[in-house]
Amino acid sequence: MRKCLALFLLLCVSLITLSGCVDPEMERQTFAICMSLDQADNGITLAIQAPKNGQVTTDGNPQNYEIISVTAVDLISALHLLSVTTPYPINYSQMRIIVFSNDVVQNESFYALLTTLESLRTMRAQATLLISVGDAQDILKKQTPDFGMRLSTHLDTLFSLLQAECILPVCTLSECIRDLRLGQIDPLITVCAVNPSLDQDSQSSSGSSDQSGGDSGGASPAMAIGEPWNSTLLPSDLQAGMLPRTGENPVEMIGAVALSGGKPAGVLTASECQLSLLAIKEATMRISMQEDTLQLQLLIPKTSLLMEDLPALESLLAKLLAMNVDALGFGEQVAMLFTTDDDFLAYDFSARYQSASVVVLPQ
Amino acid sequence: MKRARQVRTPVSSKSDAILARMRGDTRAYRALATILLLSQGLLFITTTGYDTAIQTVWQSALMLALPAFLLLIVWQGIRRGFDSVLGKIALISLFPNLILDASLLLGALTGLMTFQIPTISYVVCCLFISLICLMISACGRRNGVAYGASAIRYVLLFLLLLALIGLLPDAKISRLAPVLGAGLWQTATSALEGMGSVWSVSLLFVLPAISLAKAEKQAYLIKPFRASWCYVLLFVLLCALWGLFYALIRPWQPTATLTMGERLNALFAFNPSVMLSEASLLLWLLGLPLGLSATLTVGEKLMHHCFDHLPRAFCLLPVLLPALILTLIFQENLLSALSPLMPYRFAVSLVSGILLLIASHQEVRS
Repeated sequence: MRKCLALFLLLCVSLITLSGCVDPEMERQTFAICMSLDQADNGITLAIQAPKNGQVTTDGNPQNYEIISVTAVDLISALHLLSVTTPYPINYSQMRIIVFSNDVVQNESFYALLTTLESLRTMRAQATLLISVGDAQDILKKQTPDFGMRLSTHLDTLFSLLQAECILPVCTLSECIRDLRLGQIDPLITVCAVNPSLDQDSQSSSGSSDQSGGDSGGASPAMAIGEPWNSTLLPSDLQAGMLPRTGENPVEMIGAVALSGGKPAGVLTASECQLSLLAIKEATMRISMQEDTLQLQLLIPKTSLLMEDLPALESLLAKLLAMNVDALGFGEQVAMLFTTDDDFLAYDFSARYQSASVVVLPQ
Repeated sequence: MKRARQVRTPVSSKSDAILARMRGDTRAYRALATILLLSQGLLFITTTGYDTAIQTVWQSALMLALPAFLLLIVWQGIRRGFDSVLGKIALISLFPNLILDASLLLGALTGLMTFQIPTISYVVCCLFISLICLMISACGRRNGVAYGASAIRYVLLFLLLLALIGLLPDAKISRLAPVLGAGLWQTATSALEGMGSVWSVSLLFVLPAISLAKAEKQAYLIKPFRASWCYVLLFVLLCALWGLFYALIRPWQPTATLTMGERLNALFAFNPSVMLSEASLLLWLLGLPLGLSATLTVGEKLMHHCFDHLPRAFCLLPVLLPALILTLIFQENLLSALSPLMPYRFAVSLVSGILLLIASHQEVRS
């Protein structure tokens, strides 16, 4: 009897303390799906996109999502301002994308921005990072999921498909922070842009009635999602914001910004990005070190898709060297040749990388 | 609970039944001791080991084999002397270790829960966890906690492996490089800090000896525990595997500013599957309360063995109260406050073992 009473008391205490009733109810929280950071005259403009509370959002109609933005001197102040001006607590656990404008990445400490965002307790570590051409908040405003899909589902599906096919780099918040911290590989971040030819607002302002984006008849078969399209390399001229296609969603994500030392060093086109990701996935890296000379060898399997266009791969490697970007992770291979951290630091790989020679060898 | 205590071994006589029950009890108590050992090992890697050794934390976990086997050698020789005055003094001297273990487990669980549900206050959460663990230990049957721990030992092992397998897509061998990290000395320093976590090796021998009924104890004392090295080996290998994944994932930059909740949660944040990540958290949410209940039960057994006239519920308080006070005083700073004391748990266990060895020899001689 005494045990039953004790268990009953325990149950009562558990119901009060562990039921989660002390947390704000689901509909009284703002679940941010996307975030953008833009450079403002007097600091940073932070915006979040969240489904409207109390509304059943079964499709990706932009009217079902609200964008709230604040401007402050730095990100911490902006986050604070956002939390005190939003009536419901903001929950970042459903965050899918964080879009940085190119200006922000150029002018601010990118690593510091990322660590500040990561320090938010509810922040989703798997949120994908994007760098926008132009206004980052514009990406949030203009994105319209295809076929009326829910925004989060649209983004999840898009990234999982394109990342599996080596079209887009996998660069999440936590992974980017780790790569920048370790310094053994330079991260690639997906570029996104609004295609002006598909943007209805810009069309209506310019008086154009043409809905097609460029030469729709000449759309590459490689962009037909769902087909076995992974057996060919992307055309070399594809750029985010300028894709020859039609559709309701004007936001395009393709290509990548290459970071060096936490700052953008250059942009890789869609095909260059694909080659880099394929090289990371399929090629074997070997290092040859002789006193002051460093040779980086990339061994390509004969069955690899990379064999189709070796000159393009060689020019990509030359471009990466010129930008001082180790996107393929040769630094990781060099680190494996040293026994202690001090030896590796003393070797100063990042300083030697630019003067190293790169050789592509069919295996 | 009743089912957990049932012995399914067919027996033909009363003495066989006693022997079978003794074997079951012994096995359950050894499982309990192993869970305690493992919880301290995993907490060492998660809270301090990774910060000191970084990518060589798995080597540091392997180095723990040395103090663990040293304790094993000392404690394996003890078959008697638990009832002598010297033996009781040796057993009571293990209390500081139990208090430190209980504080660490209580602090870790409170830190994790307040991280997950930030609106719960630290004090309320800490008191609530203490109350639950107190009731589990107080209301359970004589060997209830041991049998409970024994029943879910495979669940815990499954969750541990599930957590690690879920992290495989993000794991990279190159993150282990340079293979010696900051050097062997730094790794050894980290192992020295974690040396205290192996003290529970002694419980593999103490728990069955003090928990069995007198008739059973005679049978236990006759049979030496030869497979003890398997338990220690399992502990070292699982700790090394856990450390290896910390090195392969590199979840955070070594820093003292991280809270306990962030540390316990950090590795699983790299799990691409939300479901697997949540399932992995269960490892802590099951393992930590079980570890705390086990610590209280061990304290109760030791107290009851040394002062058999004391009521059972009272025997739980000498471990719980100091641990609760320490946790409430230091709260999120608990780790930094207790860290300097943690390695001494090994020395306490070693001294206690030597005292019991002397007591055992005295008893044999007399």
